[in-house]
Amino acid sequence: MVFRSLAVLLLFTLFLISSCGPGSGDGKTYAERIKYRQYFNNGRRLYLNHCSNCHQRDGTGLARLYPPINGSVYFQSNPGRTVCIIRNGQIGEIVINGISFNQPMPANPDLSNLEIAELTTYLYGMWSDNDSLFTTNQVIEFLENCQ
Amino acid sequence: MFKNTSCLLFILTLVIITGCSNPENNKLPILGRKSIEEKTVNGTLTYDTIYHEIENFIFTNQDSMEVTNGTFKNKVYVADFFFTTCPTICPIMKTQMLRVYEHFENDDGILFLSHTIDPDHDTVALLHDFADRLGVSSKKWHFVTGPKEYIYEIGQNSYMVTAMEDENEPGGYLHSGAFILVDPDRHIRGLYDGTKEDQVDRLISDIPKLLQEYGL
Repeated sequence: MVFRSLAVLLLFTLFLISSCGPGSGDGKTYAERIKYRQYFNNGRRLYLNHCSNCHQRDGTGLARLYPPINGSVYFQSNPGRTVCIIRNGQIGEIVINGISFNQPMPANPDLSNLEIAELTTYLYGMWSDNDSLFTTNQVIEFLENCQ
Repeated sequence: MFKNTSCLLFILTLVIITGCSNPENNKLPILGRKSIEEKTVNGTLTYDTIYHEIENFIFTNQDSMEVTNGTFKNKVYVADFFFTTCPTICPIMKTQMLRVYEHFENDDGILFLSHTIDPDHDTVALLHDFADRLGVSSKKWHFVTGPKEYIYEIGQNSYMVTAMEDENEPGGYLHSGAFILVDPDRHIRGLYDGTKEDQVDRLISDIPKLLQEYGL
């Protein structure tokens, strides 16, 4: 009897743990969750290699030099624009949360569409309410519509 | 008898240990090549140790003001080499240097000196904008520019760090991420990797030792 309640408790705990973290709930199948995790983790690695020097590990940027991603409405409101900036870089002044930034961001021609999809999945999973997976096809479509 | 010996041994060990934390031995070393100079004073031959020191320099800072060795008279300073559009290590260096700056913001004994290695692009106006956006005071942190060859040479010969153009590097320049700690006698007292948080922590703990040594 004791064992049984322990087992139930264990299962319940496992359930609680598995329901934590990005990509949880919202009707994703197990396979979808695994795939999301894969994209998210690869995206994290790419973020640390290509982005965190300037935007910092926690995505908060640096002073008025490098803009934040974490907490940025500019970022949250437009994934298509984010994908375009990752690929093509950004030159000129932009205003984020009322603060002007004007440091050029280099383009990333070496990142594949899949890598951009992984990176975007990570960024939105981390710093927005949007924890859906960005696919390579979506990235291709976004890139076709860059301004 | 045996007890006495071990007791003595214990005391001896204590003496040795406390001997190590003697403040004299705690001084930061003077880095670089040193030479011995022979001199004749009042007919007797004497020997003088000549330490490596930072040569004379004149640069222009973000406020178009002249910055020379005189700017750092009776000051300890931390120097580095960077460029504003550097995509690789500079942002980390600036993040780390800002940490040191904020730590000693209200300490008058210490200044900061960042040399651009891309003076063609990093004009005075651009350096001014960069420093302003970083949110630092031009009285405390000088961002300087000057003739390119001159900047590379002082990097190489005085600060013992590499700074040069290299088209194979991302951003077009090869340069060291070192932070160089310099004392009021123009001697280099510490070299730290400005991209490594633990080394910058060491710099933060070394600076007060140097300030204390000079009573600053």
